Amino acid sequence: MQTPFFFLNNDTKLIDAIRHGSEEALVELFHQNRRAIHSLVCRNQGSEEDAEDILQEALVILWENIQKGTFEYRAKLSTYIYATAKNIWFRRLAQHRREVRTSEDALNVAVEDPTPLEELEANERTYAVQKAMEQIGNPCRELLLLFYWEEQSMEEIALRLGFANADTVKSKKYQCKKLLEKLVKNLLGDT
Amino acid sequence: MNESKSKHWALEGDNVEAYVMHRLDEKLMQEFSLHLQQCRKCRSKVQQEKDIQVGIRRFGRWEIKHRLQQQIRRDRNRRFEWTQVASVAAAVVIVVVAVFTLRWYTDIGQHKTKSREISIKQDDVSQRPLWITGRVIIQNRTFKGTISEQISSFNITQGNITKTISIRHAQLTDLPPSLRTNDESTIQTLFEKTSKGLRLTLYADVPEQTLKTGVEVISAESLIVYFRDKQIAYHIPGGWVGITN
Repeated sequence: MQTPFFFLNNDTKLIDAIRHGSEEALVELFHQNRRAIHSLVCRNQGSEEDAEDILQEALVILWENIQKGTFEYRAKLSTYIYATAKNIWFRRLAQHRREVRTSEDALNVAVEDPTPLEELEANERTYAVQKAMEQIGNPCRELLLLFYWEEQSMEEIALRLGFANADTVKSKKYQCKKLLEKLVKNLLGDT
Repeated sequence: MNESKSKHWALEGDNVEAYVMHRLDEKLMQEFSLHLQQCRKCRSKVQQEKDIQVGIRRFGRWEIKHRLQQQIRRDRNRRFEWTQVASVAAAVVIVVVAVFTLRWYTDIGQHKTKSREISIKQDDVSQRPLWITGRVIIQNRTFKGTISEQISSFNITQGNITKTISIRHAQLTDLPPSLRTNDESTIQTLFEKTSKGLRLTLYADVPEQTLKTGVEVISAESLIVYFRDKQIAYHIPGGWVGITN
């Protein structure tokens, strides 16, 4: 990835900081981009609260992409954040319109779509996974996040969490996933 | 599809996880997708794996968003505290400035008969000229001497010695730039000793024909000049006004 030299100073510093896990960098980006996103969302039927939420979502996506290594530095960070926030906001608006339409015309659901029951089950399961992640504790939580969310390799995880090698991580990840599945099962059994 | 593979080959090892994470090679991905159409158990496993991964990702996003919100809240509180501190500091400064300004102007009114502190540009009491800033004062005291309508000289007698204080007028534009101020309550004056006594050059934007001047020595270190309709007090280093040589 080649960085345009005129953006180098502040943006690359912030990207580096995020790569190293600095949440302060996200806060700085939040303050830098607040006005622009506020203006975008409020001009398009949103409120101040929506604007803050959308900006936070955009920053989480930026964080995610930097951690995964899929972030490509082609424009200024503020441009990237604006574009991401815009996408999220318009998608949310469209979804809202769809929901309104669906509730008005519930019988016109496509046959290929998952049935409401299937959707409900899937949502229930993912919700249970989220709850289980809260309960599972470290290092399992961190390991599972690094592997499934940040998509780090076994070697990188070994380095970050201080495991002896990739094989140890693989074995630990297996145990953690089993534990997570057990917790999810318990949670779903409880509900 | 590879015929040598078992019926549930897709469920072996980490295949399901790798399929959901798109980590299988392209050919295997296609085979897996085709296999899923025929294998209900495999479809269910893939769905379960997707739910796990989606749940973990959602938790990751939720966690970072939650931490970001906490940081923003802390940051806002910190900024708010600083704004409060800055506001209090600004208020204190305003009050202090207001009190001093008020005292300054009150002082002018209260000292009716005595010349007040004047800033001295050069506290040299030698024979060299002195730049002194005169303060315009409000004074009820009536001047007992003669008010001259022209640029004048005044004789001051102390004991048996008589000295002359002469007053000249110059325009503000003749002032050296470093001494120019926009303050109408001050008049810049050049003090010079002459063989007969003291010479004052007052710098003010006044038409010469309207000038009225008079001078009154209050003490050895202060004098009041009546200049047009203003009364200007000067505090001068000791020995300058005094008649004795």
